[in-house]
Amino acid sequence: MAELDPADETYCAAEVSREDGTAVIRLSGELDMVSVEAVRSVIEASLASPADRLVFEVSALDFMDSSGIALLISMTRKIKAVEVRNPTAIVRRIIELTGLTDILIMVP
Amino acid sequence: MAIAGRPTGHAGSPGRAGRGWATHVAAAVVLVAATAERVSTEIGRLYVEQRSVAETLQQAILPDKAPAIPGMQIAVRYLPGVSGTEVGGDRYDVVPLGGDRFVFVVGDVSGRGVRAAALMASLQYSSRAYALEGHPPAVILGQLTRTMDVAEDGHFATVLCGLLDVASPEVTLAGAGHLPPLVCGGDGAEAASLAEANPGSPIGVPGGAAFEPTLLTTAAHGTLIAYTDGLVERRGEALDAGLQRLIQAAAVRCGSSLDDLLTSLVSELTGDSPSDDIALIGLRWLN
Repeated sequence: MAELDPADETYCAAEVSREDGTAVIRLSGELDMVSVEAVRSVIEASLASPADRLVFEVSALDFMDSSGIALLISMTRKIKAVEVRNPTAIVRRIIELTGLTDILIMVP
Repeated sequence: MAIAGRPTGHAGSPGRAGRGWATHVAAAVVLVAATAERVSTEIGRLYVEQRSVAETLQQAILPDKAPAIPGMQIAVRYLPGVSGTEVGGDRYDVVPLGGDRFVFVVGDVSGRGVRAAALMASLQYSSRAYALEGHPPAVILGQLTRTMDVAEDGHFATVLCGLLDVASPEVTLAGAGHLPPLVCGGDGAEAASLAEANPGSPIGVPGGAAFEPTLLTTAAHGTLIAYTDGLVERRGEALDAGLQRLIQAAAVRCGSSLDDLLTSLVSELTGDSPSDDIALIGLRWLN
């Protein structure tokens, strides 16, 4: 769990759980260029034991900037199956308008 | 601690030995504090230097004003964002191809800092070279994808590229994950709207579909505005809300001179203090 100060404008929490070969990363808050490195290190630590599927559960993610998108995409280069689960309208539109619906598969 | 493990035989004057140890520790603490302060000052200096390097690089790359193209009015803007201290990777470019033809490019490298600015420079010169070779926008973007990889570079980029012939109302557009350009004004056209185009996948992200050109037919005396997301993006709302604000502001202001139009769009959408960097390019058909 990587947490910055919740009072911060740019607060993001990343919680990792494992279900067999699937790593589930639950993101909440704002994933941006300030919070992205802390989140990246949490994800990379969780992938020390190999996963064949990565799920980003983002129902509580309020905002994501291009640095956050870069983190999600870079994961698709390491793990074939990457899923973005339960995106809010804000996150969904960022992914759609950035032309990434073929690369970051959103469910639903 | 070594002191605690000393044989008693060596502790002839424990009082003095204790004071000596404490003095050394105190001196070491002062030394560490002084070193930390120097390191912190040095980091601050390097940070300022890094920003200045990135800014210099960016200013050298972005043309102050667009080249003159007869029959077309062109205006450009670059506004640094107020949040964060690192420089961004937004850019614009206009590449005359001879005769009445030219290519325009607007792009945005993800993240900030020297690395983002360097990638922005690389994309600026690569896209200019491919444009000068006579390639259409979709091919230019296809070539750019070979110059960058988010897995190695840590950044990706969105790009919008358009090819125009001043004598024609048609614009050949291709996008790589970039927001759609706005068109407004002109004879018999609706007030303002976004050009519909397939967004395409960004540069630096392999695995996307091939880039598809879109043919946009503009109204006579119309205006086209390409921009980066800093103009419309706000935390806490979907991008569509910002795009709607842009359409509404442009509908009201499109009758202004091109310079005034760009100035008022920035002012109305960001209150003149954009949190993220903005690059803008405006084109107006004069004939």
